[in-house]
Amino acid sequence: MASVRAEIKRGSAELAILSVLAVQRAHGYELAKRIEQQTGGVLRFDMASLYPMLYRLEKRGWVNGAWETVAGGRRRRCYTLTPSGRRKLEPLRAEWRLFFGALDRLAEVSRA
Amino acid sequence: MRDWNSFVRARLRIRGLERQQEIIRELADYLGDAERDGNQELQVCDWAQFSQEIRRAEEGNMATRLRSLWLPGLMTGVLSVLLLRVVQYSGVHPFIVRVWDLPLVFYAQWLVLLPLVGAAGALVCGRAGGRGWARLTAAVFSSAALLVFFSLTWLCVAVVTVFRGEGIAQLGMLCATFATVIGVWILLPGAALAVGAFPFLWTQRTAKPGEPRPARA
Repeated sequence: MASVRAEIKRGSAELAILSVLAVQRAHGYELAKRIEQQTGGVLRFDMASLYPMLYRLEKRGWVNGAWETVAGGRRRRCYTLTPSGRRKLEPLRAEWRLFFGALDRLAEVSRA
Repeated sequence: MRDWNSFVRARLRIRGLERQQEIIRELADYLGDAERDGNQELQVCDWAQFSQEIRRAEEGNMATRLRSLWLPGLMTGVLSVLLLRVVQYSGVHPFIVRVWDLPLVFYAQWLVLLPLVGAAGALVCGRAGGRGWARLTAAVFSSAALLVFFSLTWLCVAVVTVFRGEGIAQLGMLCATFATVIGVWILLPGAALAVGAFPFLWTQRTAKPGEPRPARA
């Protein structure tokens, strides 16, 4: 499976995490798996790339982590999107759309 | 099922963080889930860098730099001075060598002991999550600071000397004095500190062969 480089992945991590949490709360491992599944394996986050970003988002108040009992009776720290994170998500999406639109146009010019 | 809590605790350097226990437990849970899931795609992890990134995320960049660079650097500076005072008060006679007709006074015993201080600085920096260059900087911090200070002082004095028209001989004498002071009291101790730090610059706890290793991006 083709994968994107770490630098690009780091840049898109915020959007990926917030987008997944906008749909459903998740603990760290679940979150990494959902990102991988929903992007067809293109974006893959492991422990080392996921948690520093999650903690930064939590510090900014965009996500909230709390210990909960999940399936199997296990205790996991689950993350939810805060109202502030939800407000941040749409401008972030717009920013990325703008960025990819620009790249697309550039690629069209190169092909022409 | 392996004890992931101990596994993470042994490798993650986040001592002093308010949420230390919680973070260790959370990361151990992650590894437990990955193991249960049969996730074999676990790669080598640079635990020192991972610890640093967790610390940065939790404390912010300034606090991390303070803990992993400035404080160990300050510590090596203070220890170097204390060690010099101990050597001086222990009745050891300094060596005196004449270079360019200038008496060079230095304590060889101090220079011999300084690598221990450099090693301590690199170790403390490493324990706070600092990596190679940060560890070297922390070890030689006092020498580097003195070098900057003396260089600026020399520059100012040289400019004043030239403007007062005191002549080439005076300027040459001034340069020689500064060069010897910098050489004996800054560069030599700096080299001794760096020598002590050297074995600890790149050491880190890495996974043993065959043991599951959490991945890096």
